[in-house]
Amino acid sequence: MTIEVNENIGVKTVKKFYLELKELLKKEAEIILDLQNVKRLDLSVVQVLIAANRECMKNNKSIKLKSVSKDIKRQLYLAGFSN
Amino acid sequence: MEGLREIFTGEAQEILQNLEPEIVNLEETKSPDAVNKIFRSVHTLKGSSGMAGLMELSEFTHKLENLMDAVRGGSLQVDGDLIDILLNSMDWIRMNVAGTDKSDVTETLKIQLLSQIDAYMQNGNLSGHLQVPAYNSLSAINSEVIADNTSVKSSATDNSDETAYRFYRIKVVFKESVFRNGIDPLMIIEDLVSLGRISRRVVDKRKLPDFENLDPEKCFLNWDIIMRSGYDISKIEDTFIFVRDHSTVKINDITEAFNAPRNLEVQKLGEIMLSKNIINKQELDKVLETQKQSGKKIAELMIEKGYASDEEVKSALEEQDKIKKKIESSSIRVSTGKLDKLLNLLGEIIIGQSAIMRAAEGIEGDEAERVVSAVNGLDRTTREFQENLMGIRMIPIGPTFEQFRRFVRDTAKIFNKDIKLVIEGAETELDKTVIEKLNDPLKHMIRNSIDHGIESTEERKKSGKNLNAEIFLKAYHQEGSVYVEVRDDGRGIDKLRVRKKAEQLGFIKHSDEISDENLFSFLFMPGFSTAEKVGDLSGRGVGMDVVKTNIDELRGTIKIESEKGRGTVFTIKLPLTLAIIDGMLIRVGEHKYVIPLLSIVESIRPAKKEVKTIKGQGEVVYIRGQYVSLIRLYELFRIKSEYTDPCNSLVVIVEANNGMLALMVDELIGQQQIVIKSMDSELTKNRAISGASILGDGKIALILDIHGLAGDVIH
Repeated sequence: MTIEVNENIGVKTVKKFYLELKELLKKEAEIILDLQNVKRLDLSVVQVLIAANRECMKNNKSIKLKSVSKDIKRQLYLAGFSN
Repeated sequence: MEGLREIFTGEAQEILQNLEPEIVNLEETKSPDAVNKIFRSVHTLKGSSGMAGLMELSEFTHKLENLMDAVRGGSLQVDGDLIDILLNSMDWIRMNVAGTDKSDVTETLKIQLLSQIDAYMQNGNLSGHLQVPAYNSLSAINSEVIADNTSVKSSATDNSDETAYRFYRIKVVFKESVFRNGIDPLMIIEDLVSLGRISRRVVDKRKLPDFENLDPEKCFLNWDIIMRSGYDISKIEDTFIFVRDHSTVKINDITEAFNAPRNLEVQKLGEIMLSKNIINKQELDKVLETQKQSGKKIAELMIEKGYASDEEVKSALEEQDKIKKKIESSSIRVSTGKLDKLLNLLGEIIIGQSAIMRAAEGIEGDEAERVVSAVNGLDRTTREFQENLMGIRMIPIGPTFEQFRRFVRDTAKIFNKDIKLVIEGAETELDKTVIEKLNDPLKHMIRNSIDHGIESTEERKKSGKNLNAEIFLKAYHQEGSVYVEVRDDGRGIDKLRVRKKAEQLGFIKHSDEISDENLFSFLFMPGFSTAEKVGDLSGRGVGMDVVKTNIDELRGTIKIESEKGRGTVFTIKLPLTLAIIDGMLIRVGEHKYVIPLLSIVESIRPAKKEVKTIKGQGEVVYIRGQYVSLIRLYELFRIKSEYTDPCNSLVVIVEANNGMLALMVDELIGQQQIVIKSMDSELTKNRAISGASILGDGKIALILDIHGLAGDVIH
């Protein structure tokens, strides 16, 4: 299932995003988050993604990102995806 | 070789600084002159990097040179794609020159740029050129693009020049509540790593709860980063200026542990001999190995081992000399550290001079006159010396202004706004230190203008304004100070909203009358933001107070003028120099203080009827139709004074920020040059003191921070 992430995703909307993702993860085996409208992610959102990814790995599910800009990749790296 | 690289780095940074605005200019003008300038600069970069042995850079700039050659020859057109390629190439070159980042990110960027250059050369555009992979799984992100787990060891033993850089270990623990204060720790980390190259970064995720139990509005990640940077530790510390209260940050300089000894000059001589086929690779490796153990010079070893004759070594050394001379020009580069040292020494001379003058007071008759006259002569020379020395430190503000062209272009693009940067007074000279410290405040004010000041294109259309908005950066000298203006032709500041916010925060009452200047000065208060929404760039209420703090540190002032619908002007007034000022020495009781001469308006002895106490304003002095707050310095510093009645003592009227102050003193001792010695920040925390000076008798005089005092009184 593909979800288009809102361009204004950030700390003010992170709770809603988290709850929606939580519901989806209960039902779906694979979730694709389309980031084409998103210019940057803040740490609150990245934390949700890290925790969601961990959860998926535990339950043999997957979460994928689509249309990830160079800046967002760098942010994900800085927020610790490689350790 | 090490020297050559150092020279190249300086030269390249200058070229890049000039090149970037030129590229932005090319987008607007498409002028052949700009094309030629860019071509020549790229050509210089290619040649110099080759001579400095930076082959990766040389090859890259060679490609770029071919691209510009095709543009110059008319086979390729100037368009947005070309400008993006050129600007992104500048980023890559800058990272490479500074050695700031040799991670996979830079490598990916390089590959992407080279492929874009090829595509552009072939097709004349980038249509259909895949710029970033369109699809990524989370786990693939690490390996695909951004993993930079360059181990500490490998970063310390690569071939780049480490000696110009420092290694820092930065441990940051953010408070869980940090998001609630509008702070994004990731942005802070991004700012931090933009200052250098990461050697190691560990993100501590142990506190991050399971997805099920996660509170997404709390921060759980912390960082432990080792990075290499060309900046000093204070610049690294500055990154955390917004989060001082919301984090625990430990920064240690660990350079000594990382700098492995190396001798790049030896390698270069070997390279020359290799290229001339005097020796082969195997022989060079053997010589380098022996050289490591014996410490002997490589030239000696070549001859000793019979790999090369005296003459061959001599010719290689001559060639090396030639390369050096090519780079050297009639001017010399002097580090600012050396100039600072000279300035400090001059400061000591001035203190010594005051001591001689004081000693002369104890002599009588002709002898005293002769000493005083000799010291006065010396004083003229030292003043001239100081002016010349300061002149060396003065640099035009133009390049600093120019670098904002790209910033404005990129930021305006994000907001879909059409904004042009207009620069005036680029030739205005300022002390290098002042210019460096001005960079951040300017950036912040420009950001504010773009984000909040300039209206959207639709809004401008509706109000009949020119759709192309303008931001002006202007500098000029006036009455011994330097003025820097940031002006926009945007919507202006909404006075009512500022007033409402000030009332909400309790700074003023609903009934209070307040001038525009004073009203706008609230915008510099910490946490004061009228922005409706927090943007990526500004609106968090943390920023304008930092602008103010930075300007205060430069002993400058800043004021805002704004007209609804017509725009806003920020005017910064700065002193010409930071190290030595003309000051008025005053006495309160047994203590001496310095008031910067530029702040003094006059000194008076008020009549009894002119000193009053006004409810809500405290003690004031009535001066020509105006009530000015009176500060009894002896009370402020809790010391004994000779007079307690202002009508018996003297009152010095000083001008600061948006108002005046009356300082009660016992005596005006006299005017003299004051060498500013910085003080521990704990001591200057109370904002009444900005530094100290050593007097001729060896005693210390504290320098009053008039703007700090005024800030405390006015707000």
